[in-house]
Order: sequence, then structure tokens, then C-alpha cells
Amino acid sequence: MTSSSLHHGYPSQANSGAITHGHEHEHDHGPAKGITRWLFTTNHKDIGTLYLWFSLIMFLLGGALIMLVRAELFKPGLQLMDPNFFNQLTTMHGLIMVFGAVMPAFVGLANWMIPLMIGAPDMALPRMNNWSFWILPFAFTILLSTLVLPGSAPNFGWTFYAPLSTTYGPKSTDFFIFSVHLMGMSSILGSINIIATILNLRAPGMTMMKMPIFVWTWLITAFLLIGVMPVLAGGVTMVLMDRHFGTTFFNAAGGGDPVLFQHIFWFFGHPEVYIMILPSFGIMSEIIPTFSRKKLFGYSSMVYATASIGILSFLVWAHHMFTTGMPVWGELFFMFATMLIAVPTGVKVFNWVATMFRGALSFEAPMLFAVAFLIMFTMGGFSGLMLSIVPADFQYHDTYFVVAHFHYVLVPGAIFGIIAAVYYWLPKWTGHMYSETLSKFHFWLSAIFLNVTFFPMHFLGLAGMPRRIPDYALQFADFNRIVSIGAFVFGASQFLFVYIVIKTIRGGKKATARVWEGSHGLEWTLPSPPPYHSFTTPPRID
Amino acid sequence: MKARYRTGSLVFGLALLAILMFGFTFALVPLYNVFCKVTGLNGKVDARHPAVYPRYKVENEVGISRVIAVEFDVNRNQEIRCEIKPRHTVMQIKPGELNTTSYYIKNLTDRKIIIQAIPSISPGLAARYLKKLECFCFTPQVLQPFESMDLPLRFWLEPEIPESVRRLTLSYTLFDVTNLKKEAPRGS
Repeated sequence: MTSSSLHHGYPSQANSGAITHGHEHEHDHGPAKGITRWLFTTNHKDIGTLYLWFSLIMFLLGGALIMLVRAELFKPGLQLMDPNFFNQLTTMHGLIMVFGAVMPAFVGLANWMIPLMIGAPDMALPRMNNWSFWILPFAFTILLSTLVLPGSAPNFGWTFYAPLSTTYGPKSTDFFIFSVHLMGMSSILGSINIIATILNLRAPGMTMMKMPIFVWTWLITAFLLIGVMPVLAGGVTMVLMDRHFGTTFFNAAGGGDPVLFQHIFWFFGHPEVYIMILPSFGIMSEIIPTFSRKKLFGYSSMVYATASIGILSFLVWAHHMFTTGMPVWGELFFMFATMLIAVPTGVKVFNWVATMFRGALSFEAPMLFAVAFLIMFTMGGFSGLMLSIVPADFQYHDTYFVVAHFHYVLVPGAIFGIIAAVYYWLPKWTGHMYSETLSKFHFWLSAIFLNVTFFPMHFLGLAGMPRRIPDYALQFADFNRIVSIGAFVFGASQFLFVYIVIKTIRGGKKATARVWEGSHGLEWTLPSPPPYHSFTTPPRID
Repeated sequence: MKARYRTGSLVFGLALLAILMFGFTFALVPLYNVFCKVTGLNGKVDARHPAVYPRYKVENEVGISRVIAVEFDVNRNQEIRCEIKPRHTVMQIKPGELNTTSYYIKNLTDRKIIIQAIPSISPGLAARYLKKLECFCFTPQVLQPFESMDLPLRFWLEPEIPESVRRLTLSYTLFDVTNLKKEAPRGS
């Protein structure tokens, strides 16, 4: 076959059935028994599963914390907690969701899917893989222990601006610092592993430009992680030194500058937001073609757009700092650089729409979440464009408009991407079909109440309600009540997701190897569930 | 299938990249200070204060046509029990001319306190044209219990200061560095 197209070169499930490996019966060994399977595993599927469960638990925990916040904000006045505890809740919610829920979920998906998608037997560095996962429970035990230990948990917001975290940080700030160090190590090890796997273990014939887009987006994400997680580690190290070793990196009294903290933090923080969205772009580029029964439109432009977003993400950090007193030329530079990101992102959105255009669409749960992603992520992108306009940002800065913006890109963007991926590949992982009826319920509850929760926040912000406050002026009461109700229902409906996942693991209609009528790619050539060791003989891609 | 990269060297290279980025974070600190001083960002003043006043030969020709109002201001970063006020709240300055003023300070406690004043100039882009020969902000100031003193300040505005600047504010923020382990400031 000489076709250079992405999908047609793969062995097709329809005529070849599940690939069986000649040597499988001789030295195939299944997983070890009991808890040691999970503690000592070097298997990419086991580690992927561990990551995904960890992320789900953190998602529920981070969600539970924000339910308390929304309960406090249900009506004006202080009802349930003192302001310091409120600040601890918002801080922990942000940290848990970013570092505990979204990032490990994507790493879990990478572990599960990248070897299957590129025809590799496992990850390139399986023992390091075990390590990069098992650092995480320790990191989060340290971080979460601050909630139950005496004294205040971190209360300075997930951005831990100096001097809130230096001069005024509670004692638990040191716990926070070391847990961030551990999370950083975990991410860097995981990223090294992913890059090594993608570069070295592709099946014969799979050139870079034949890799599935999910693999491409993860390759770029991994480079972003290696580029910026050390910067975060350096930033928290400086905070630690300012707190205990008499340095004054961020203290003007000794010649430092608190604004420098913001530069360092956002030099990490802005690429970080793309770390949380690029793998989702990859997932969309897998799901939308499958349920449109068409090839992905504009494969190579997708690759270049992802790479451009990755590079541009390093050049826009100061748009988080327009109100710190930058000179006008600085503001103009960061404004235009930020607006420039809309171009490659727009390329992606148009490519997805073009993929769906005149396709034979069907709307199973992954596709529903993908379409919701497409619409609502774009809305989040547009509010981002509004925020990029300097004079407008002076007005929106630190209001609920910002909260609305980043929740619109993170919840329908990152979270819906992860949920779509789980529904899409769950039959492959478990060998069982999930309940389409229940998952549709889950989708509609999530999609509707997501908007009930976050849409009114735009108006609250435009009307001037500041972020990170436990109490608010009376005129914001009605919208806050709507937001809280939306949040409660959205939160509760995620238990339906947990139920669907557990039910699917325990049994259900047997899934075929190909699972979806329109699916393409190496992972669908293996039986569902795939054998414990997949592709011991590399498949050939022509 | 041709071998692509040796896994060992790939891992080494990527780990090196991570370590370099960690180092880069610390390199950002001096880079940021240099950047701020070159551009006058954040109203930072050039730390390299000249040791002598250059005595502009054409003192009466440059800038004679205009005067710039320089306002003096002081704030406390935290609760410091001392009295402090500028001798002049505003001075009319000819560019190129050497000027002298001072701040009066009195320690209101029965303890020794050490204060550090950090200057900031607004508008920030004018910061680089303000040169100080002598400033109490160059070093931490030690005040014995109930001691009062005049803190001297000698400065001039460079004649190149843009026409658009008609008024600038020199504002000091006072920090209590009595308990700060490191007393010598890095900048000024």
C-alpha cells in the first residue's frame, strides 16, 4: 500500500481480526496478584490506570472543596466559614484541580494510549514510569495534610503571589513548597518518558507525520512540561529561601521585587494552561473523525498549529500582569502576542468543524462531549480575547469575568476532553461497552449545569464582583444563587460518571476490537481489552 | 526499522534541559534587574550612582528654559513606630543643577531600629534621568532609641530628561529590616 494518508495504512480490524502474537503463549505473563501488582508495576496500562484513578479521586476532592465555597457564596454575608478558611478552600481547589486532576489524567491517558497508538510494547522507561506515578500520592498527602494539621492550610490562591506566600504565608507554605517540588519531579520524569517513547518506539513505517494527533499534542506538551516545571520548582525554591534563608528575591526591603515573582510564576503559568489543553486538542482530533466517519481535516496544519501554540505560549506570560504598571510598549507586545494565539487555535477549531462538515455524524457520548468542547471552549477562547485587550483587562482584572473565562476553557476544555477520552477508550480498556443511556444523562446534566454555573459569572465580573471573596455586595446575590445551584447539580452529576465507569469495568455488553464503526488507528487493531503486553511484535505501517 | 536515538543520551539530554531551565529561573533574577534598570521599568533607579557630580559646563544653557517639579513622598511598608517627613514636599528643579534636601526621621520606640528606604520614581520612564550623589537609601539606617536625625539627599536631573516630563515624584518606602538576617541591600 503506498497511500501516505494517516489512516489507510493501518491493518484493518475488519479483515484481520485481533492481532495475535506468535510468542504470546510461551512467555506471556499476566499481572502479579494483589497489591504488589500496583505498587511495583512497570506496565504502561497499569500505570495509566493508576494515574486515571488518582485523577478521578482528586477531581472529586477538588470538587467537594468548591462545593463548600459555593455553599458559602449561596447568599451574601458570612454563613459557614471564616474568610481565611474560604481562602484555603479556593487555594486547595485550584492546586488539586490543576496538579491533581487535570495533569495526572492526561498523563494517564498518555500512558495507556501512546504505546497502543504507535505500536510499542510499553513505555520506553517502564521503571521510571512507576516512579513518576508513585511520587504523586506522596506529594498530595503532604499538600492535603495541611487541611487537617493545626494552623492554616495554604491560603494565598494557587498562584501563591509574594508576599502572600513569603512574608505572610502560613507555616504550611513549606508543605506546599515541597509537594510542588515532588509534583514537578513527577511531571518531568513522566515527560522524559513520553518523549523517549514517542521518538524511539514507533512501529516501523510510522513516520512523525503519520502519528496520531493525540501523540503529537502529547509530544509538544511533554516539551512544554520539561521547559516550565523546573521554572515552577525554581520559583517555589526562591519562596522557600525568602522564608527561611534570609534571601530577598521577592522582598523590596533587601533589594528584591515582588513583581519578579509574578514574572517567574506566569513564565511557568502560561505554558501550563496549554499543558492542560493541548492533550485535549489531541483527543478531539481522534474523536471527531471517528464519529464523523471521515479523515481528520488538515492533519499537517493541526501539527503546525499545535507547535505554534506551544512556542507562542512562552511569549505571552505578562498578559496576566497588565495592571502591575508595565510600560505601554510592554502591554502592546503582550496584547498582540496573546491575540496571535487565536490564529493557530482558530485553525484547529475550523479543522474540527471541517472534519464534521458533510460527515456521517452520530452522537455517542464521546462525540457529544467533543461537540460541547468545540462550542464552549471556543466561547472561553473569545472571553480570553476580550481579556487580552489591555484597557478592557484593566476593568476585568481580578473579577469573576476572569473566573468565568478560565473555567470555560478548563471545564469544557480540559475536563470534557478527559471525560470524552474516557468514554471513547473505556470499551477498549475494559472490554465492555458503557451504558449509552446513562452517559447521555451524564452529558446533558454536565453540559447544561456547566453553563448554569459559569455563564452568569461573566455578568458578575462585568458588574464588578471581585474574585476570591467570601462575601459580596447585595446586588450580586441573585446571580450567585444561580451559580451555586448550577455548581451543586454539576458536581452531583459527576457521581453518575463514577457510577458509569465502575459499572462498565464490572461488566456489560462485550466490546469488539474496533469498538466504533468509524475508528481508525493501531489501538483498534488489538482486542478489547488489549493483552497485558501489547505489540510484542511491532506492526508494520505502510 | 532504523534505530532512532539512544535512549540513554535522549534521557540525559532531556534531564539536562530540565536542569538548565531550573538554573534559568535563578538567572531571571539578575536579568530582570538589568532589564528594569535599562528600561526604567517599575521606576527602578540605576544602582550605579556616580561618585561625583559632573558639573555641567553649560549648566545655565541646558534646561534653563524649564523647571521640573520634583515631589518628595514617603510611606511605610509595615507598622514602623517612627516619625518621618520630607523637608520639602516639592522642589522646583532645573535640569543639570545639583540639589540638596533631606528627610527628618525620629525613632519613637525605646529599641534600636534599622530601616531601609527603597526609592521609586514616577513616571517610571523618567527614573533613569534622576541621579543621586548621596541618599539615605544607599544603606540601611540605624536609629538608636528615640534618636532623631536628618537623612541627607543630594541629586540632580540629567539635562537629557525628555521635554514631556514636567513633574516627577520621588517616593520612598520604608522597610523595617531590624530582624532581616541580611542587612546589605542588593540594589538601592
